[in-house]
Amino acid sequence: MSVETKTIREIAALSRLHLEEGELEQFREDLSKILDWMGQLESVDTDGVDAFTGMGGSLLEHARDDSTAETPSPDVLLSNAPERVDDFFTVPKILE
Amino acid sequence: MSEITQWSLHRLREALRKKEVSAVEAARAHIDAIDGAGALNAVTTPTPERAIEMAEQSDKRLAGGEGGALEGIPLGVKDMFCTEGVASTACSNILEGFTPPYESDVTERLWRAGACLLGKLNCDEFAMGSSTETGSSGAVCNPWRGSGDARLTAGGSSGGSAAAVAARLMPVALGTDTGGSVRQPAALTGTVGLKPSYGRCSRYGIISYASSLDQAGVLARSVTDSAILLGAIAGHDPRDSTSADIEVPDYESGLKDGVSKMRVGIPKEYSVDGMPDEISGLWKQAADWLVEQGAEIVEVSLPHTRHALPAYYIIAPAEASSNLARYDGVRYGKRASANGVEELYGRTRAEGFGVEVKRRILMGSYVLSTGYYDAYYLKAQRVRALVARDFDSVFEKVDVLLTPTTPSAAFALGEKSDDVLALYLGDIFTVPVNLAGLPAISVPARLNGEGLPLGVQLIGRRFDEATLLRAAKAVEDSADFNAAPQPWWVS
Repeated sequence: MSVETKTIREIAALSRLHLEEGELEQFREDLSKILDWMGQLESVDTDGVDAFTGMGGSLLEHARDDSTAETPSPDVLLSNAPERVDDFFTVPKILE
Repeated sequence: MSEITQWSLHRLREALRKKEVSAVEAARAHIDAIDGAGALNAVTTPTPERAIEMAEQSDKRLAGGEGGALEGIPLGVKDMFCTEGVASTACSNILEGFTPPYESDVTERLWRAGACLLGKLNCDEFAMGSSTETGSSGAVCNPWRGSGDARLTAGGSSGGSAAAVAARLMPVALGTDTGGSVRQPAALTGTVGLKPSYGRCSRYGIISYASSLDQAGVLARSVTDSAILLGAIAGHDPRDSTSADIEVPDYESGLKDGVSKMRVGIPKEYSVDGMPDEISGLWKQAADWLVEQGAEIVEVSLPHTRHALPAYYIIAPAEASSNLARYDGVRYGKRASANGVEELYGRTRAEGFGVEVKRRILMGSYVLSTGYYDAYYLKAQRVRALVARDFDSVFEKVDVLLTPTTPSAAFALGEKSDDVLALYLGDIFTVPVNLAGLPAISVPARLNGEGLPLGVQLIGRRFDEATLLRAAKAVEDSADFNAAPQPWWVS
């Protein structure tokens, strides 16, 4: 199966991933090849099989107590921010 | 080279308790070994000062007759684990300079048990790879060399952890295993690689790749050492709701129970076309070893095995595309200069992610997008249910399964970097285990004709690592594998 360049462009936009023209073509080729290979799953009879949704079982179904706890200070949480102003993360202006 | 670096974790623990060696001496010996092994590129961020500081604390506790299960043991941690105050980047440029303000649960348990951090270990970017070539720190070189001088891969994605343990830079190390990333590098470096059951260890603080598959794992030079380390990192954590609230057995003391009357399944579907004789021969040999020790061999069938790999390469990228959405240049990590916030996201991610990560994000977004979701993602999840069901029915008849770990010995660096599918196909024997959440271990068994190590894999029932480790110990005892790579890298 051959994926169209237009599709790669759409997928890249959904992925918030800027691609150069050369990359678009490379990924178009790669994805076409990989999806071809994945096509073999079509032949597997999965009628009446529920999709796997997790490891399940009562073991994994425990919720934490709804209790209050200390949260880290804004300084700690902002310590890795590329840019900050006071106690806020900053981004480029989004409204004119 | 100090003799201490040749010791197993078990031996070093005894020597520390008997005060034959101090924790600081043990740390120094391994720091020196790391300093001299730059050619392997196994350690991305060495932390010698921290190691010595921690070792000094360990010596104080040991002097007082106290100390945890790993008191004074120096070790390294794959760069996928968040370590408080120490750069943790998943070997990705997008997390350049990221210094976590918190500690992962598994590493927190290590420090509480008295272990000392030697450094962060190289891996494929976001653990996406099988050769440790895609990370921002460059390729890891396998300490083993074949007949030529070609530089070989240490496997991946935990290639730094495996190479470091094989080269005696540390007795044990932590890795992570999403589709074989602990077991495959273990096989290619002659080390033991243990992936516990999904839910046995907390994923809190492990940088997420594919959350339904990711699990912390252990690299060691003996089954006993892997059992000791698993005992230290396993256990329930309220911060990870998928970690199991069940008892952690004493794995180490359980090892002596042997494999008498154990039923070992040989899944016929793992006998794939074109399997090299050295792999099929070793597989047969390992089965014979287990029989000699009193186990019973049963041929079994896992009919959906061959569909596991394509299902994995749909599910893992799908989860990755979602998990990696958080890297947007706003709260941490890299930020590209841009006009407007949309461009900020797109440019930051374009500059921050490498080719393999971009490929998997695109794959994941594709299989999850409208129009393709049913044909790919939903179909893969149905196939996953069938793969898991196969294991369930087989484990009614047998206690463990025996298979090869990899279809070949270590290959040359760069050999498969232009052929994505060829690299993916190398995960054929390891991936089904992750889809079903089972524990599995790779045990080094012999050298091939080229002088390169080969491993066999044992797979256990979910949460029955104890039985798995006993079977692994039996294989280890019979194999008597004690070869070590020649230290050509020492500078």
